[in-house]
Amino acid sequence: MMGEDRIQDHLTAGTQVLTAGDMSCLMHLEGIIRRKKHDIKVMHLAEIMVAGLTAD
Amino acid sequence: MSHPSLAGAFTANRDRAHWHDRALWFVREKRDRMASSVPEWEDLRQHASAIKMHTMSQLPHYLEQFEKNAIAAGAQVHWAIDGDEHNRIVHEILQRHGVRKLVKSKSMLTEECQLNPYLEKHGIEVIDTDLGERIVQLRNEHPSHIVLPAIHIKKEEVGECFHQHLGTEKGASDPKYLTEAARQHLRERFCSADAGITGVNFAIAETGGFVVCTNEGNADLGVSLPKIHIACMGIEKLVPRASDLAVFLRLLARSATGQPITTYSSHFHGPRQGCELHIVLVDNGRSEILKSSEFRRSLNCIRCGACMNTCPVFRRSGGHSYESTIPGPIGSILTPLRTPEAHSSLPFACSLCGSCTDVCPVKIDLHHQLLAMRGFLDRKRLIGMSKKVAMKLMSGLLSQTWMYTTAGKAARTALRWLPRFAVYNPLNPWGRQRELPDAPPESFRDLYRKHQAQPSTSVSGSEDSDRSKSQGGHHDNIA
Repeated sequence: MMGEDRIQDHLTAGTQVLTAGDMSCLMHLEGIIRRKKHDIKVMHLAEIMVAGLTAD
Repeated sequence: MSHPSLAGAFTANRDRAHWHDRALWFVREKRDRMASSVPEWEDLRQHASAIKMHTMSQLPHYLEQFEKNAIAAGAQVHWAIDGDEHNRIVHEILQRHGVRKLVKSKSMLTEECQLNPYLEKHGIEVIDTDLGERIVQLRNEHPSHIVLPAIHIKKEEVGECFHQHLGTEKGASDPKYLTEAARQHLRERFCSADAGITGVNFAIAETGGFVVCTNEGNADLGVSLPKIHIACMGIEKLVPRASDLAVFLRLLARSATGQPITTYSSHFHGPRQGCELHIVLVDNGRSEILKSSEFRRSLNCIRCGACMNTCPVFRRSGGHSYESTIPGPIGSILTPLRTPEAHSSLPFACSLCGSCTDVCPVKIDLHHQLLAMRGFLDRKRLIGMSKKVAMKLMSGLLSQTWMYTTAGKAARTALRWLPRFAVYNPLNPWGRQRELPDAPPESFRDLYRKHQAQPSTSVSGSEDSDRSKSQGGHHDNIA
């Protein structure tokens, strides 16, 4: 329920990409987002960096 | 029952859990406004913590000083090693005076000692006079919060309870109407009581007096009419000087309910003329806690409840899920210290977010102690095997680079082929709310290594020009 409330806060705030350094936290939130089919992308900081490295 | 199963039952009713969460968050926000309106707030906390630490370091001295001065002021002082002895002492005093009816203002200590059932068993009627406590008493429940005992009950339910017990109109839920009914009901009990019991918020060693804080004035009324006043306190309630109240009274109500001060701060120094004042000092495990360097600071607690109002777990799981007189973060330390077997799940009802530590007016390092409590329970072999084995495996895996990278490789392959059922099944509580990410084709390590191997895209960049510019080609996308 704590995770659901957190996601609700992000939906209200209009979050498009959700990131964090804590894997466990991200997997928890991603689980809720995917199962509820919310339109929020979840990326670990490393994924954002990789996206930067491979962009060109 | 363990905290997870009771909390699960509470959160199953989402609307109610949300309502509970918001009710407590409202109190937390009031506390924030009050705290931030006092410029010297952090100084006050520091002072309070130092005073308590000092008092605890000299507790025997201050207890004896308090006893001497309380006796000099005309009070009778009793010592109880545990809850049973406390109950016997109180019962013996009441018996001596032939007391049949007793009024009691809020006291978490008498809850801890389970005084009510003990006295009722001996034929003495106990009426809790704090409105919230009276509500839970009528409903045959325990308080769910130390400052707001009936915070888990909606006003419609209070209306139903009062309709049953006090004869108010059916379906009434107007707080004013219901409070008035409770006042009339309690007034009768106040007038007919033979004795009054109060708790103690602060006992002052140098004067032998003590202070009781209430918002309803029920403590004053309860001990002003009968001839017998019994005050029950844990031995950690002591402060050395009367001037220390200048620190604690400012912190208590602001932290508890976001009020500048409680409506009543009643000072008692000896009995009224022709009356008796008894003070019962209770240890009940406190000396043991005092011995522990890890958990000693938990005795600083002044029972304001701020840690409960801010705790994201408490707000959503409700006080009863802790099955403990003191619930929430501080209760998850104090209770397992006394009864580790029955309460081994409590320190895990915590994400270690540290919010409790931030709001604690006496600076108890709550979330550090909650973490230490897990170790304490582990040393007593009270941590479930599933938790232990998983932690052992993980720490082995994460402490060896080769194991970690091999496991990562294996997982990236396995994730592509494993059926969903392998991770998300009833045997794996991890997968109940979590999702593994899609497996990437290669690890971050591999990518980084490849990237490092290409000289033109070296992260170090050229030294002679503006760093951010020289790296801009790659890093623009990160920003």
